[in-house]
Amino acid sequence: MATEQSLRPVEAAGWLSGFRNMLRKENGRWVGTHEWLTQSLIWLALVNGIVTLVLYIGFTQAGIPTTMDALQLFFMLLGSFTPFGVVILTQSDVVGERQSGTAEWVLSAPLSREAFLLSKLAANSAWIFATMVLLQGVAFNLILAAFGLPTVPALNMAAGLAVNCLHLLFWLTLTLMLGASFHSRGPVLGIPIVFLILQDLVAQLASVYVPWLVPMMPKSLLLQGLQLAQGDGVTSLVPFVAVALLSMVFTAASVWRFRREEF
Amino acid sequence: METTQLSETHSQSSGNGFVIETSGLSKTFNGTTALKGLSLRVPRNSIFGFLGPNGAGKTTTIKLLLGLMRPTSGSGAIFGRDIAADSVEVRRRVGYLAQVPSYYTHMTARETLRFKARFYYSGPKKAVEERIEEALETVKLDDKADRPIKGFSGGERQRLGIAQAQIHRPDLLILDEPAANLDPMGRRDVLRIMEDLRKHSTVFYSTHILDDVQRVSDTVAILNRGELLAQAPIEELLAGTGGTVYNMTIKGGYEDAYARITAQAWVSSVSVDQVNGRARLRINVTDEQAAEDELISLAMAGGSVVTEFERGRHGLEEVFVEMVEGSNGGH
Repeated sequence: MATEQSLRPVEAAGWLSGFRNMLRKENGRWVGTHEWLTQSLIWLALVNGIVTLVLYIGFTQAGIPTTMDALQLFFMLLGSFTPFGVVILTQSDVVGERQSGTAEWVLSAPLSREAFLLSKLAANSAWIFATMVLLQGVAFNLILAAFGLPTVPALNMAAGLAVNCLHLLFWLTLTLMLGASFHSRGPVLGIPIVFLILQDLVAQLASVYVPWLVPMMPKSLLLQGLQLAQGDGVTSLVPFVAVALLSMVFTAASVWRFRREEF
Repeated sequence: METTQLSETHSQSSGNGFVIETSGLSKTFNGTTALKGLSLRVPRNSIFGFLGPNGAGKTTTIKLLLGLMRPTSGSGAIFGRDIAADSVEVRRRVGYLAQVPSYYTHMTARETLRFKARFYYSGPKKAVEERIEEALETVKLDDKADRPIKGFSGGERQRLGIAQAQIHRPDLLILDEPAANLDPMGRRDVLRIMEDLRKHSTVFYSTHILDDVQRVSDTVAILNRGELLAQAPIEELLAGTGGTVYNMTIKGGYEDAYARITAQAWVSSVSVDQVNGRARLRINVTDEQAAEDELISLAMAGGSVVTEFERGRHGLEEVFVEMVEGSNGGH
């Protein structure tokens, strides 16, 4: 059959082997299960819903809020809530596949261990950034406009949101690394959640005993994001470098650990 | 249907006629040895039955071959490529069915095959879909192709497993207990599919269903407690048990005949099954000539009526049980 003969073997080699197909499957999971819609609605309600409520109360009861007030609230909610969402959403990505046997199944095909992990990282990053951060930024400016307040300039907003994306990447890669390291969901979910809850306390203690550590903590990045969105400059590059480096270390550690995994 | 083997540019074996070769392959888990120095050779285009009781090390061997586990010591090659260092390249030419097949349950059977196919080949959508349809028809899942897998029965999942394992027409199919979850009809279909696949592929499958092995396999390996007990063409294995067997059916009382037969030095063992007033004796002998000259007269000497007498075959079950029990120290 002529059409049969036109099939071509997939040639990708090395760590890229199987990456494209897995990425397509991971994206398909977001689209096919309507996860994108669910996440968009959850974060619209949790972040912009609260912003809208506060603006509404401000307009009706207190003094008229400013764009800067709303922006500070928006970034505070975005930075505080979304890391929990990232951890909860992705904690079973690796562990769940190992437990269900699907990891064994796909890894019996010409799929590299690196491609298995990195496809999850790539798809989750893209959809999390789109639904939890970028969509929320756009919605925030629309809400400001609806209340008749000046909107945040697009470039400033984009810079602030990009910093939030980097912040979420830290939590995403940390969860990925834990998923590649542990065989049950408990530690994968528990370790980041405990750290998220206690990070203010940890920062306070660190400021007393190891003050040089404080700017390296992921939460320090959020202030930089707000400053960029407000049109102010960056006051320190340390949080950017630290979080980016840590994210890379977590990713490398995930790959290192997963390559040694047995199924 | 005229088809093209995607992998036909590759040779079917490493050049010496063997698709799988392992040497001293061992695996230890936390101090427990699951596989001890396995040296295996699987001829190309064979249906190779890999037998052993539960816990013998069959699945461990399969996972080592597929790179899902790393050997503690020893080495292995598939198509001449190292199973540890070249695992991804090895897997391009291998189809695998796990003992308990798992899939993404949000996908349908068709989507599952489409997903699996994309690991191996690309091309016009029509050609890919034709290949998928053909695979669905082969395993008789074409009427359920667009239902989510989460509603599939065990047998349907197993049949989907066979379809996904051969979606790229692999040079080697590795099937871990392919008929374990199937009813007799399903088992028959699986054996038929395996026989069809050998035209293009080598089939290496683990099982403990010995009837199936005797029906379709041409080469067999027996594993017990991680050790290889035997590996040979099935005819050789059945013939090479150190003796010959004769079946005799006696009508009425058989006790005298039994006593006279077992007293002969060239009779190594006699087993008796009694059905409907007839005794069926299975007589293992070391001297064929003496057996053929004397067995009937020994049986009839006391007035017993012999209704059937034939040279029998050793069954695989006998060989298997004998070997496994022998390696377990007779227990």
